[in-house]
Amino acid sequence: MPSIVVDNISFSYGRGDVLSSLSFRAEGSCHISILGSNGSGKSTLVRLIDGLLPLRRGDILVNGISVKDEKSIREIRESIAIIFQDPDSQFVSPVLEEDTAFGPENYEMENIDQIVSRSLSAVSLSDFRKRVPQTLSGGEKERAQIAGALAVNPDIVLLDESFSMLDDDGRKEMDALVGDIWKERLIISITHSADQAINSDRVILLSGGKLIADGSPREVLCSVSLLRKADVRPPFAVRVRESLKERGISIPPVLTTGELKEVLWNFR
Amino acid sequence: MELSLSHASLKRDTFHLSDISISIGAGLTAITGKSGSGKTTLLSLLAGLIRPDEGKLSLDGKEVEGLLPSCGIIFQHPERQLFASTVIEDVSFALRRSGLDRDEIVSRCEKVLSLMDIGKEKWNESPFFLSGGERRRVAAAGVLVTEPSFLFMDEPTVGLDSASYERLYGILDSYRKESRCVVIVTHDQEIAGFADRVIVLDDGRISADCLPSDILSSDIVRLSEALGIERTSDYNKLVSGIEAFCRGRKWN
Ligand SMILES: Nc1ncnc2c1ncn2[C@@H]1O[C@H](COP(=O)(O)OP(=O)(O)OP(=O)(O)O)[C@@H](O)[C@H]1O
Ligand SMILES: [Mg+2]
Repeated sequence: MPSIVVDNISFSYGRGDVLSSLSFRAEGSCHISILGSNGSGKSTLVRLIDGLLPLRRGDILVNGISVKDEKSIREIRESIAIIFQDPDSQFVSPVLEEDTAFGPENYEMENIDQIVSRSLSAVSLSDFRKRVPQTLSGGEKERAQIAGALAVNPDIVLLDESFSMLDDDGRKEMDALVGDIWKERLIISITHSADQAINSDRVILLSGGKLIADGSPREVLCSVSLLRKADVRPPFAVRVRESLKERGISIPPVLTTGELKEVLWNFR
Repeated sequence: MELSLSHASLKRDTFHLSDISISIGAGLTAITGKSGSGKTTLLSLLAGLIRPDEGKLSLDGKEVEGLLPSCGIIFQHPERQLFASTVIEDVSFALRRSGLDRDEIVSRCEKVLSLMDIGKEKWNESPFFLSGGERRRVAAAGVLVTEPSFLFMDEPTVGLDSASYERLYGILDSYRKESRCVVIVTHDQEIAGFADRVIVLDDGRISADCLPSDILSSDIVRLSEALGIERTSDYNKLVSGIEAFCRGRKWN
């Protein structure tokens, strides 16, 4: 069962602390969204989990192994896939199938050709094997990234604002694809969109490097005061409810646009 | 002030723009469309950054050769626009070349960096030591500091936190009030709904050019429709509409 334990970590790039006394644990198949203002430390956390930055204070255990244990860092990296925001800067090969093969080759896996075929087919890019990745459309590039991640068969998937360049439909499609192919895995996604986070199992808010909320989407994303503190735009329905409240109209708490509609229909 | 692209066509290996004719005046214009439909290319044509294979770009009837004058462009990955060794050098780059005097440059840079909420302690740091959103804000500051008459932005909402998002609204609104010409490429239906005009691209052609509420299907538009109140793409109008809707009825 995949697991991440973040145990009282603090981190600084040199100036002040960018993360301070941060703790949480995540286990099994679970989708966690992390939200917070620009500079609140979200990407730093991702880099620490993957052992890309040196951790000195506190500890992070990935599948029970400490990221501070240099001998095991390769094992940790093999169990994690990261997809960043900008796919263009992540392609490593001029041909899609070679790009998809990069991870498995790096980890000296067997049956690479088969892995590549399966990965590309899972994201419906089988017909694009020989394409130059840069010539794919935005949505196809994101699929290609997912294929590359899938090829290393990770337990843990970290998405750092991965699909934010896509339109709503495209983003929902990628979210669904990710949820489908990695439903047994641990997914942590970083986003600025509370509406996107509604569908995850759990939501964490960071503010100034500290964890200020950790709970279900309903617990966290309906709380306008918490969201304001973390500089997160509330979900659409929550914003509308808040605006109505300012105009003296009270309606029960809502999280989704569907719920908002239903509540408003009660005014007859 | 009228910027016109007439019968512009452009062909590349993987996509094309065909016979595009549009005129854009003061105010806020949003360009939307599927990924790969040619939005960024159209933006680049309007800014004079690339030339069409056929057709031409003109400003108030005169053909534009090269880059459009008094034009600022914030690209889709503005962090790639950053190059100087400190934030302040980066932001002041264009002004230093313009021959303005030092004090004026400093005060304009300070103003725009404060506007973008980039703390003083970061001004002498490398822009590469910033978070993703902070970098985007610094890159935007470097363009806004020149106070361009034409402002082009490619996906300006991506990666912004709530405060920065609200600030973007403010900037768009003040540029509009100052009768500047702002063109944004965006997939964000809410910000597109705030525009005066929306142009939709489909496979290299303009498939619609209309008011935002005529075309968008954002949560805002859909909710206004579902409630049977006036169809709108503007958040504040939606809330006013719902308010009237609720006041005219009884809760049960
Ligand atoms: N390489 C670096 N060197 C020094 N400081 C850095 C570096 N990278 C990030 N920082 C600083 O650390 C803080 C946290 O940055 P981080 O990238 O983790 O934020 P984030 O939450 O991902 O923000 P965003 O929403 O903008 O992506 C910021 O104040 C940033 O300026
Ligand atoms: Mg980040």
